[in-house]
Amino acid sequence: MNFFCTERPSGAAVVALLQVSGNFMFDAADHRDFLGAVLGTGIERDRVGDILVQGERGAQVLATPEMATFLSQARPVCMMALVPI
Amino acid sequence: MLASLRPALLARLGVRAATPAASSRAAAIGGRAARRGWTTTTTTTTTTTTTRGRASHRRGGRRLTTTVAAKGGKGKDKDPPRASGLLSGVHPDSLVACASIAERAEAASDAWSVHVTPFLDPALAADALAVVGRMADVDARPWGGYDRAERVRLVIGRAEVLDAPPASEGDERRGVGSSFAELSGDDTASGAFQHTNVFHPSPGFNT
Repeated sequence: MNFFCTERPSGAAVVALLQVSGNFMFDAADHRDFLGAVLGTGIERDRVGDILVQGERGAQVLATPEMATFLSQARPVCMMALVPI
Repeated sequence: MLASLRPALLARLGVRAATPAASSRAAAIGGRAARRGWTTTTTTTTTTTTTRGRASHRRGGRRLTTTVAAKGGKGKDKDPPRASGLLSGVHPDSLVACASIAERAEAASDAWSVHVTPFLDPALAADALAVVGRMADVDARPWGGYDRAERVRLVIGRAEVLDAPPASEGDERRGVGSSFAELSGDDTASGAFQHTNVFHPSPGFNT
């Protein structure tokens, strides 16, 4: 799982992107699966932005930069729908 | 006057007369309502209902006007809470959140700082943008990670602060309109992340 942050032009990071990669070809996951996995870690909904599902490749999750560090190490997100990510 | 008209109306509408006590009470209150210009109903049954409703509200004092206005067609009995001024037009469900955002926007304006909200729903973000747009010397920039993001964070502050030039050359390339789709694991492996959107010193775990 990778994550990146974007910054506003003159300040600190505002939004972080988590790249959730995995082989979801035989165990498809949709938006609610990713959202459930993220919220299952205990963070609040307003810390998570859009979730861009990329089909069998995984998804991109937008979150606050503080949560990106947490989510990248959270065990529930590292295994989702029986797919290691 | 209403008491004199009531028997004729009852006969024409085919409504059975109420008890004498209720009829006289309804007629008396109906007459007061007519003198005050309120809307009254024409049948005994409805008039009695209106009377009871008004009497109960009369004990409350202030709500009498609202109830009478509702009978006259100017409003409803249970109007949703409405705000005026800065929060006018804001959906009732968003009032508290918008008021909080307005307070933080004012604080950011006073301190010449920048406040970033959490991710907001589209409706709440629209209301918050409208509220901040009415405030003087404060500007808000929605940003959800890409241009057409639904859930966005609002970067609130004075326009001079928000439009200030970036602190370093590398920041200039981190434009607001950058696209995440252009990033891949190769970007981090090549060491080019210092001039792209990669911010964290250890940009994740390639699994």
